[in-house]
Amino acid sequence: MLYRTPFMRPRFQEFVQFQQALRAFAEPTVWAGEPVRPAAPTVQLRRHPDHLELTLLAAGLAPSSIEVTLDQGVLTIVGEREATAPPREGDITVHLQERFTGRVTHRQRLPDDIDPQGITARYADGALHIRLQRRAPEAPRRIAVN
Amino acid sequence: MNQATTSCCPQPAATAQNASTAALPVHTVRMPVDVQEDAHGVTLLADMPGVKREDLRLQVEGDALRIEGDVSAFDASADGTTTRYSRAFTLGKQLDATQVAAELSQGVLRVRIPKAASAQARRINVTVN
Repeated sequence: MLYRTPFMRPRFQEFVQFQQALRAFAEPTVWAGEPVRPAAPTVQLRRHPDHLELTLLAAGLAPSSIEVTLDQGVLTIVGEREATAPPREGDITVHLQERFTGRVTHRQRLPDDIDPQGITARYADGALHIRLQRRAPEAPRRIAVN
Repeated sequence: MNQATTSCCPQPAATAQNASTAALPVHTVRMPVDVQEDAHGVTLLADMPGVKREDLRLQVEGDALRIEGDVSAFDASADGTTTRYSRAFTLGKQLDATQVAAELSQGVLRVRIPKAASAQARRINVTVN
């Protein structure tokens, strides 16, 4: 038996349609799960008999902005991230902004036997590789006492 | 589920990488992303430093997009683990998951997902006689 329920009047259907349209409008286009908080760049230091290898992971640095300095046994790495945002034309909705922008700094105390002239750095795939040459150990010297 | 699986990356290289690092435990990290939407689609930027192009895997299955990449910049044998970036996304119905384009530059992955033709606002020219 068919009968009209008081709730399914045409007006109510319109309201449901409106609600559905509103939900589709407010629905995000990409779900990415729990947000990720920015973290300090990851570093790995490997010790070899004649050199040290330091690898710092920092994506999207402008190669010209990377500065590596050695001062009083402390290695300082500074880099700046290029703005990689797409060109702002028309309406752009930002759904997520977790990536870090700005300056990256890392300081590392080095052993005494690093040769300041023997440091080379290379930036590839968002990883900065620094090779630090160690000086050959000096043979112990006997000092004559008068 | 009868959904099309598309992949934009060379699969043999990816599986070879898996085979070589299979012995080491994997440390999985969820990478930070930026997601921006414009009139024609969505641009997703993900930070994946230390990942080479051949170690990057993008997989679209139905409305799910998974981005994975193994860090090769670190010497895995030194730490005893392989670091892997991995994050899954669910794409809205208005996006065309079959047209995903990706590019990796200095550890920043840029993924472009256009909107389905039906979801894009169309301007209809009216001619008046």
